[in-house]
Formats: sequence, C-alpha cells, structure tokens
Amino acid sequence: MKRKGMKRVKFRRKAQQSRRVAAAVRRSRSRLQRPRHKKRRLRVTQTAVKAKQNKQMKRGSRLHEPSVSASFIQSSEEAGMRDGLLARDAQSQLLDLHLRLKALKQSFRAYYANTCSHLESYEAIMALGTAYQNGYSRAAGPDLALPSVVLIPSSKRHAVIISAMNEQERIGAVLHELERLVPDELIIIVNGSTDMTLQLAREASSAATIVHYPDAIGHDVGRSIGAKLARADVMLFTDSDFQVPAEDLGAFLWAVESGVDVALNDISPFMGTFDSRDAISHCKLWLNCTLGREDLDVNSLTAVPHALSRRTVDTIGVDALSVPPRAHALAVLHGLNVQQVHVVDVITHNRIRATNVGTHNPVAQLILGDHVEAIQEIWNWHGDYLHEPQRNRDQIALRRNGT
Amino acid sequence: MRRYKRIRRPNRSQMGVRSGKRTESFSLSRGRRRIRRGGSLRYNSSMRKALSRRNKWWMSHPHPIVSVIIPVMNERRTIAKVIHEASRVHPETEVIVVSNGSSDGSDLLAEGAGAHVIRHANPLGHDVGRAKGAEAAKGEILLFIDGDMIIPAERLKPFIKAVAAGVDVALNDYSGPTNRRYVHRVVLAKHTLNALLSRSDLKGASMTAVPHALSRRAVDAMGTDCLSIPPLAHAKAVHQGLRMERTVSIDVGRLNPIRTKQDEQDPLTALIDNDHLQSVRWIIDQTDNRGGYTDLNRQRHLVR
Repeated sequence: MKRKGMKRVKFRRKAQQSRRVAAAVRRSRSRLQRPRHKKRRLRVTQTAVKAKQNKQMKRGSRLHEPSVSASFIQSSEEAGMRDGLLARDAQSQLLDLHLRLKALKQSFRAYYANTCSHLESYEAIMALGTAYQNGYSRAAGPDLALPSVVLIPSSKRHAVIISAMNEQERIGAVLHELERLVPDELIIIVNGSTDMTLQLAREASSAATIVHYPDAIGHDVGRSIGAKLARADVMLFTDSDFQVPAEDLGAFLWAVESGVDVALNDISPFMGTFDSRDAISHCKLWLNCTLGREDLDVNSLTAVPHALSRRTVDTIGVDALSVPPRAHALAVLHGLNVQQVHVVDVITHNRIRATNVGTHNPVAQLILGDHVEAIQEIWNWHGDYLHEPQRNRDQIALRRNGT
Repeated sequence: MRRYKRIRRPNRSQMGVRSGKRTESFSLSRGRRRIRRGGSLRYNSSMRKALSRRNKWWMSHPHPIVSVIIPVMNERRTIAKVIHEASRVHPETEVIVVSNGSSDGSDLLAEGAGAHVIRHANPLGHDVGRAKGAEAAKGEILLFIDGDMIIPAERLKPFIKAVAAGVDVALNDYSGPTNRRYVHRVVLAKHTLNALLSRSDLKGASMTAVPHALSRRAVDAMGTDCLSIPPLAHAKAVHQGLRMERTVSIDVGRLNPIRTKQDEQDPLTALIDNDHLQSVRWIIDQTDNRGGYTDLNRQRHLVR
C-alpha cells in the first residue's frame, strides 16, 4: 500500500513536471512566434497604406492638386489685370511678340517676388502663372492678345538647347513648344541634316541662335556646343525628336531655380522588373550605385530633358557634356546637387530607328562605351582608395566564414 | 543486434548535420532531453543507410580527369558529404580540399574522406582558396564548389559534361532573384559586367558563383592567379574569347546560409562590387578608355 502510494506520488510529480515542461516549451515557442505575428501585421498595414496611396494616385488630382488657396489665385488674376492695363497703355501694337512676352514674364516675376515668394511648389507656380496670364490678356485686350505661355518667376536667365538632325517633321512643333517657355536664349545645333530642318528652324523661331554643321557631330557633342555658347544661368537640354509640353519642361527650370544643380528626368516609373530591362539600364543603375547614389535609380544625364545650373557647367567643363554618363559621374563626384525632379515619358515616345533597336545596335554600343568612360572617371577620382578592399580580403574571409 | 554492430558507429563530427543542434537540445528541459537521448535521434536507420551507401574507401584518383576544388574553413558539418558527392561526378576524379584557417578538424575529416588536402594556417577566403586549389589540380576539367553546400553529384555532372563537350567556362545559370524592381548589389554588378563585356546573354551568370567548371585550356590561358578575383577572371575569359556558357541553374542563394545580421552590412558585398570595378579597369587597360566601344559620329574636337 505504502509503496503504491509512493509510486502514485512519484507519478503525480512526474506528470506535474511534464506539464510544466510542456508549458515552458509552449511559452518559449510563443515568445519566438510573437514577433513574427507582429511583423505580419505590420506588413499588412504597410500594404494597406501603399494601396491607399496608389488609389489616390490613380484617382489623379489629390497629390497633384495645386497647394495654393483660391484667394491667392484670385489675387494673382487681379494683379495680372492691373499689369495688363498698364501694358496696354505702355505698349503699342508695334512691339513684336517676343518682347511683349518678355514684358509679361517680367511683370509676373515682380508680382511673385513681392507677394507670394513663399509658395515654392511647381504646381502652385503653374496655377498662379495661369491665373495671372488670364487676367493680363483679358485686360490687355484682343489686339494685344498673347499665346498661352509657361511663366516661371525666376531671377535667373534661362537657355534652352537642342540639337537636331533631319527633323523637318517635328522641329516646327518642338520649337513652338519651347517658345512657350519664353527662354532668354534658344540655341539650336543643326548638324548633318539633308532635309529642310535648317530652313524650318529659321522660320519657326526668329530669336533663336542657330548653329549649323553640315556633317553629323553627334547629339551629345551638339549639346555641349550649345552649353559653350549659352550665357544663361540655367540650361535646359532636350531633344528635337518629340514634343515635350512646356509645362513639363518648366519643372526642370524651376528645380534649378530652387537650388538643384543637375535636374534629371525621372524615368524610373517606366522601368519594369529587373529582368525585363536592357543592358544599358543595368549600367545606369550600377553607375549610380557605385557613385553612392542608389536613390537616383536609373536616372542620369543620358536621358533628356534635363537642366543644368551654370555652376555645374563651370565645374565639370563643357567638354564633359559630350559624354553624358561621364558628365553625370563628374557632377556627383564634385558634390553637386543632383536630383531627379520630374517625370517625362521619353521611353514609350522614343522614335524607333534602325540604329536603336536590338542589343547590339550602334547606339547601345555607344552608351556602353560612355559608361566605361564614366567608370574610368570614378577610378581617376578615387584612385588608390578603390584598391583598399583588396588588401583586407583575408579579414573578410575570416568574417565570412562565421568564426 | 549483430548486424548493427558491424557498422562502426561514426563519431559525432562525422555524423554531419545533426551535431550542430546539440546546444539547442540542452536548452530544453530535463524531461525533453531524456526522450531525445533514449530515442537516439542522431543515429537512426536512414543515417545508417546513407553511411553504408557511402564508399568508405574512396581515394582521389592519381591521374584524374576531373579535379574538384573545395575551399574549406571550419565546415566539418558538411565537408564529408560534400566530398562524397564530389567524388561521384566522374570515375576518375580527384578532390582537392584547400583547408584555410580551419580549427575544427575539417581537414582531417576531408583526408579521411579521401580528398587531397592543402593546408593553410590563415584564412584565405573562398576565392584565394580556389586559386590555390587550381594551382595543385592535375585534371583536365576543374570543378569549383563550396564546402558548406551539399549539391548532389547528379546536379554537378552537367558542368563536367559541358566542359567535356568543348565549353571552356561552364557557369552556374543562376542570376539571383531578378523578377522584381530592386535586386541585390552583387546581382546588379554581375549583370552590368556581362553587359559591358557585350555578353548580356550570360545575364547574371558569373565566375563569382559556384559551382562552375573550367577546362584546362581556360586555366592555362588565364593563369590560376586571377581566379582569386573571380570577376577579373570572368572578364579575362570573355576578353580572351574563351567559350563561356550558362549550364544549369543551381540556386546557391537558398543553399547559402545568411551569415551576417540584418542590420549589419555584409563586407563581402563591398568587396565583390569592388572586384567588378577592378575588372572594368582591367578591360580599360586592355583596350582603350571606352572599352573598345564605338564613338559613332561624335566629333569631340569641336568642343574645347
């Protein structure tokens, strides 16, 4: 009997122990699992936020709505009317269109500087500019009517530079759009054209500086010649291939106005997954990574439109612009303020030519070579510093093997 | 009972994977441990079968056709199995284990498994280890694998077959996960190097990743020294016009354990990135400042 009882006690103890063990195991397991639960929940909330943002983006507007109140827009319109009346009195219809547009730009700049220079977003500037222009042209009357332009209240001088080769179908429309920016300088480098490009450019824009080379000199060389000729503080580079709305181009000028040195076109929204991209995109991304600017993604000076400040051109030199990736690398290495500022779709609108299709096309080869030059520039800049990781290879081996 | 006794019970290190979990089982409570000890989970029938299947008396072939090179540093958990798989890729095979900085007896285990062991007291790293192994290799086909990844012989054979069929560099057709927007730095670097070498058809395949196999011709053309910087060897191989091909895909990313903590930046990433920069520089030295690419119709002299 006694022994039986002992056994029972022993058994009970054993059972208790095993229960305790089970509980301990359960507890330890739950402790392990809790963070995982949390993580999952976090991920859910993150995706929810993202989905919401996407929805808003799709609905349009919300994020792109001008962040300026109605009262400002109204006051802008009134100011426009006031200045328009003054202009009507001052200007007779003799003055040519270009000078009148300049006068409009100048008066808007004065208005902006006096009353609302705290508004800095490009959307707000656009809204104010449109309202001002409406008021201005209403007051100035029909015989002094002006085409709709993009007003950028900048104290800096703007230059727009394009190079054109056999673009007779587009050059007129492109120049017309560029005129809407009311630039202080418009420089067109016509090269290797066998069609009417030169004549059409001359007709389309009377104020433009046109440089003509009978032989093809290359787009990028054309741009750097333009940069050399320009005297302005801000230079906007674009292509004569396709018409980019002046509203989009203005964003680049405004970015440089607000302190960016190299304002790049943001083409990353048009990039698919990594495996669907071409060799050149890989090069662009790797160049930015090597420069320590992963945030720039695949954006570089290779894509137009982009705007440069005078400081950039003076620092890296005009000749560097002949090889865009090299100029990009130099700009980052010199510590200039390089940012992607605006999204313009140049990927899907790009004209398909015999020379830019396929992986081994001449243009792709050219750009690959440009990236080799850019990487060489990084070597020249860092020199011995890049050899450093090779020296402590054995230490890394030690760490890698996890001891 | 006698049947069991005939097989010598291997010591813990030879048992392989399970010995690593020892500490974990001790952290459990006493009751739990008793069950595990009594049940003899470490040495069960499946393990015994695996061991009996293993050719215990295998030795490296004295006049090999295939040399398998395995850099090893403290990998006793897996090395015996890795050597076993490596020995089966071809009837005439030698296995060269470059043991560097090992302190856990991996080298002795490797010797016991029949490999030819080269010892280095200091850690060399995978790449330098591979270069040392290639120096000692006698075979016509050199296969490079890692000591911590057990890849079945059946999956290694395609590399040998490819080289036997005339390929000089048979690469692992593994580019890492690329069906997403952002990829790892190293994956990007590999893709870019191939692009700059005009071999974007190789995608992310590179001599940085194991397994890969080289022909004797490739080794003679490149030299064994450059194998210590794999991207450089890769660039050299392409530049010298060796036949390089993607063979089969072995997902080494999944087999490879994560070695650093998440918040810590892997020092290896910077090293590999730098290796790729070095190889672009090598290309520049061999060709011109544009890597031999066209300048099309650019007339640079116009801008001064």
